[in-house]
Amino acid sequence: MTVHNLYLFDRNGVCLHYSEWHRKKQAGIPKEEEYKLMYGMLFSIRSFVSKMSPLDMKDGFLAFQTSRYKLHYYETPTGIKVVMNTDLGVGPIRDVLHHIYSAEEGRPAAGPRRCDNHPPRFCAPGLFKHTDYSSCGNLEGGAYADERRVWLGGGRFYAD
Amino acid sequence: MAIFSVYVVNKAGGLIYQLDSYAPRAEAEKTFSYPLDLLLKLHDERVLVAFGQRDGIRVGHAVLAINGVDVNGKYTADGKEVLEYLGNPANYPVSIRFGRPRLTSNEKLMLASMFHSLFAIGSQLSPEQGSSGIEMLETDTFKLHCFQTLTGIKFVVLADPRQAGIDSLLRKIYEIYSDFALKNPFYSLEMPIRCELFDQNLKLALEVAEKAGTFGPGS
Repeated sequence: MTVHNLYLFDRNGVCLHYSEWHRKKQAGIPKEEEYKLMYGMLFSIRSFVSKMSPLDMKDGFLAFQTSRYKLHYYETPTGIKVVMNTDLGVGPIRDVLHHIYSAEEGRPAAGPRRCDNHPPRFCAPGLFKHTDYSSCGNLEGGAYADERRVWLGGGRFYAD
Repeated sequence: MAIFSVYVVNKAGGLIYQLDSYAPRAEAEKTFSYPLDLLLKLHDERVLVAFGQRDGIRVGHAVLAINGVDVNGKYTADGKEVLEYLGNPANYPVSIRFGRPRLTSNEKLMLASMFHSLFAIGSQLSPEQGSSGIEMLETDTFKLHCFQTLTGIKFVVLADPRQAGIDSLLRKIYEIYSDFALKNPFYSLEMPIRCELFDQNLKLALEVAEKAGTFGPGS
């Protein structure tokens, strides 16, 4: 299992955090533009999905995959969006994304819920330094046991 | 387990075929006395619930029928305006059926071209070389599967998240398209598909796929 990159957006579409680990291809546009494109795509997918759905939805959009990667999406009731791109062999990781969100939320004054006009930008070490990701390993009850090493090595969630 | 609908999108993003095969009924019918304790609003030529969610009636649901008479947009089948009718105390008690608004053909066209662009953005934002566009999109109520042919036509199937064997179904639909649309001398490329044999065979393939998906894992 490989984690390619991670985006965090606030409810207005401002990118609060971005980090990448095993990204082999850049989008070919400036980073700011890429955040906008990503947020715009998610925004459209959300409206697309809510119109297409044959039944009333609870969580709504969860993930999509192409031939090479899988995008996981998690949105809190306050509108914070956590987006993680991984390789294809990753099951549902809503709980992991929630964990990332709540770890960040727990930090006083710097949590993504801070809603002034210029929200803080998080740098990767700052985001993960305060976070103990040791519990990520057994979220899927054993299924992650083997992948855990990759989480630590590939995603470098422990040390920064 | 079910397959909800099939869309065929041409290489320009235009919808050239659409079939609703199964629509789960999530409707609620209730009798109301005056005054109505729900707030209704006109949105996109439809009467939608704006406030007062209860008893299976959800915010965003549309008025589908009044006293058993179907509602089309903001008018009932017998030509009365819905909001005006419900505003008149003399018409009560009244029985109203609510449910998820059905997609109009205009909306389907719009959603198809929207997916066409999402597909392209999905491949542009890829962190890996040589990625295709969106092949599978998951939500908690349905899964969207998409297969793009080398010539750029997209076959899109909406199905229950637990439905298996959609990949082989998509290839089968491509085969049916080649056999019964492309080989039809009256069919012109990139144009809406109006071929009886295509219809028949597609429905047959959907039935087979639904059964195969129920009884065991498909390919």
